[in-house]
Amino acid sequence: MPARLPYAYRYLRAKKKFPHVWCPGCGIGIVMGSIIRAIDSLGWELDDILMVSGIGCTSRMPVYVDFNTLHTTHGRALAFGTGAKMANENLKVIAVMGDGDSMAIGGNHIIHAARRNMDITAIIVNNNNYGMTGGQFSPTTPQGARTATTPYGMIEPDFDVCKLTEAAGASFVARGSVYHVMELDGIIKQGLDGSGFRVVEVLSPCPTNFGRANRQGDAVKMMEMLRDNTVNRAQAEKLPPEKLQGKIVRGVFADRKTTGYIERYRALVSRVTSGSEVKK
Amino acid sequence: MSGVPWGETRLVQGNEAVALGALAAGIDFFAGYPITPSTEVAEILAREMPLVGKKWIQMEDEIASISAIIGASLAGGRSMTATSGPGFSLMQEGIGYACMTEVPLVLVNVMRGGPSTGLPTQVSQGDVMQSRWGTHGDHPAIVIAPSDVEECFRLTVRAFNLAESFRTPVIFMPDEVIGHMREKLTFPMKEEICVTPPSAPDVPIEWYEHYHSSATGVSPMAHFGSGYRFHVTGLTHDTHGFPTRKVDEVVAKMNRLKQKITRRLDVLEDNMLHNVEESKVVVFCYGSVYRSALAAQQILAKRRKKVGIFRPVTLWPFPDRTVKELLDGKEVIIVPELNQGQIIHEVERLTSDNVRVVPMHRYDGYEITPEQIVEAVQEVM
Amino acid sequence: MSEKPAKGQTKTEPCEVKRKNAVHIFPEWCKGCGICVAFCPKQVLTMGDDQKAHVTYPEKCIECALCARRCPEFAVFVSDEKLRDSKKNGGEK
Repeated sequence: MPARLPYAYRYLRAKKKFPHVWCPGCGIGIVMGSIIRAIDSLGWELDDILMVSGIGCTSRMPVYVDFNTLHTTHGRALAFGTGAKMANENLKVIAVMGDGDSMAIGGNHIIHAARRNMDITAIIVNNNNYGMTGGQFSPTTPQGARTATTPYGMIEPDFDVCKLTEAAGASFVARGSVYHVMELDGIIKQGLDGSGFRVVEVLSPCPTNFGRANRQGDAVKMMEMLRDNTVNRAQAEKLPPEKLQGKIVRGVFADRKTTGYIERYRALVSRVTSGSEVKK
Repeated sequence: MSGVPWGETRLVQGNEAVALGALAAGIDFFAGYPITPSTEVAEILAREMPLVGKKWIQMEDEIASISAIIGASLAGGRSMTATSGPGFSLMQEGIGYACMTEVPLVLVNVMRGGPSTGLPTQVSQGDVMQSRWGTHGDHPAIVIAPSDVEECFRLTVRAFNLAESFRTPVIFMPDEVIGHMREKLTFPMKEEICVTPPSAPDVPIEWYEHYHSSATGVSPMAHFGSGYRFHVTGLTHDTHGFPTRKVDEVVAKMNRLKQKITRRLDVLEDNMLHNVEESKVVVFCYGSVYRSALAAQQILAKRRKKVGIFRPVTLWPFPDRTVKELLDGKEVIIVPELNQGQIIHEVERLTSDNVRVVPMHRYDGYEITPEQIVEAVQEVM
Repeated sequence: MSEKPAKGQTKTEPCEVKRKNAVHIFPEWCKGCGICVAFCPKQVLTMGDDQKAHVTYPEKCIECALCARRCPEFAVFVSDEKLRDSKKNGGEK
C-alpha cells in the first residue's frame, strides 16, 4: 500500500476485511466503485448517506462502505428505506439490490416506490440469477437459459426492469453496464442527484453461477458480451431493426423530474396546518 | 377533536385510545395497512399526525409496513404499526429482524378470529403463542394485553417506553372486543405522562460500538444521520454490527438478546391480582375475558362464594415466578380463553399435579360471559 | 526511452517526458479475474504466474484509468485526479 491512500479508501470501512466477499470477475465491486466516485463528485457528507440493501450478493455492498448502512430482509430494502427517509428527510437513501431481490420478492415494493415516487435511488445490479444461493433463476433470466432451477432451460418470459419501473412512475430510469464504466459513472451520478424514485439498472456478469451454467466463459468473456451485445440509445436509433435484435439498449430512458413523495407530504402538512383544510 | 384531549373526559373507543396513546408518547412515524379490526388506529393517526407535522403512510402491504417502521426507528423516529391476525403473520419476519437488530418499535395487533381469514370482525385470543414464538429462531418478546379503554391509552405509552428502554419490538395486543368497545376515559394532564427519552451514545464517535456489551445488555444507541455511522444487519453480528460466525461472538449476541429481557423481569412483569391469596379457586385470564371475570367475581360474592382473579397484563415474558409462588398451592385454577387453549399451557407448566387446572375455551367469535365463568366456578366448588 | 534535458539547460525542449508509473496494483486484493489486463487499450498490464495482474509496460500507459474503474476489487489505482474526472478521459465505443 502506498503512503498516500487513494481517495476511495475514505469511503471504505477501515474495519471491514478487504478483499471483499464477491467472486473474482463479479461486477458488483465495479458498481460500488462507480457509486463512490459519484458520491465523491457530488461532495456528499458521509453522515447524510444511507445505503440500504436486501439479501443477495449485491446486497452485501453496504457493509463495505462508510455510510449509515442497513442490510435488511430479502426484497424489502425499499420499504425500510422509505421509513428511514420519512423519519429523517436529510438522509440521501441509496438502495442497492439484485435482480431477484428487487423484481421477485421485492416486486411489490419497487412498483409502489415508483408509483409514489419515493425519494430513493435504486441501483439494481442485474446478473440474471440468484447468485448467492447458487444460481437459481430470477425474473430477469432470459428464456432458454440454464440455471440451478431451470436445468432444462428457462421457460418463463423475463421482466424489463427499466420498462416496468418507468411504467410504474419512476422519475428517472436508466441502464448501464459494468463494462461501460465511464458511462456508468455518469448515469449513477445523474441517478443519485435528484428527487423522486430513481432507478439505475446495471448489467453485470456472474461468472461463477450464471456464466458457468450457460457456458459463457470467464469474466473477461462475459465482459466482452456486455461490450458486444449492448448498444447505447444514440447507436440504437441509427441501427436497422435486424441489427438491433438480441441487443440490450443502455442509457437514460426517463428523466421526468416529477415531484417526489417527501415534497408532496410537506405540501400536505402545510395545507392542513394552515387551517385552510375544512375538516369534518 | 384534534390531538390528545388532556385532562378532559370523553367517550372513547379502544382503538382510538391506542392512537391517542401513541400521540401522547410522541409518535413520529406510522406505517400501516388497513385490516379489520385495527383499521381505526391507522385512520385516526392519518388524520392526526399530519396536523403535528409527523409522518404517516399507508404502505402496500404489512411486510412493507413493518419494514418501514424499522427503517424509521433506525433513522431516529418513534414508530408504530397496527394490524390483526393475517397481517401479524406477514410481519413475523420483520419482528425477528427488529429483535435481532435491537430496534425499538410498537406493533399493535388487535386479535380477531383465526386461523387465516377467520372471523374478521369478531373476537378471539388466538395469537398469544404466535406473539411469543411467531418469528423463527430464539428471540425475546414483550407482549402487553390491555383490558379496557384507559389501558389502551396508558399502556400504549408504556409500550413505547419499554420499546425504547429495551431496544426491542413491543407487541400491544388488545382483542377485538377491547379494540372496538367504547368507554368513558378521563385523560390525564400532559405532565402526568412519562415518556422515555430516546437513547443516545455516551462515547465519542471513534469509540462507538453499536452493540456495545453493557451490563444490562441494552446500550445507548445512535441513529442514522446522527454523526455516528454504523452497520445494521439481520445476520448474526458482533458488537460492531458486522456479520460474524465466530462461536464466541455468536453466543455473546444470542445471550445478550435473551438476557436483555430475563435480567429485567421486574420492570416488565405487570399483573393484576384480586383476592388471590385468600381464595382456593382462581380464575386466570387476560384481555377482555378479565372484564367478564370481574363481573363474575361480583356475582359470586353476592352468593357468598369467594374466587380469586389473576390477570397478567404483560403476557410475555410470562410471570413465571409470581405464578409459581402464588398459584402453585391453589385447589383449582380456571383458565378461560377465547381460543382452544394457549396460555393455559404456561399455567400447567408452573403448577404441580395436585393443582387442578380447568380449561374454559370459547372460540366461536363471541365473548366469554360472566355467567359462563360463574357456572364454571360453581362447578368446581 | 526518454531524453532528459541537459544539465543547466533552462529552456524546456520538446521531449518525451519520462512517465511515472501511474498504475498501482495491490496484489493482496487482486483476485486474478483478468479484466484489467484484457481491456487495457494499450496492453500495459499482464497476468502473472501468481494469478495477479502486473504493470508490465508502464511507459505505454495513457492514464485513461479504465483499469482502475473496471477492477471490482479496488486493487488497481491511478491518480485521484484521473479517477475523479470522468469527462476528460476517453469514453467507450
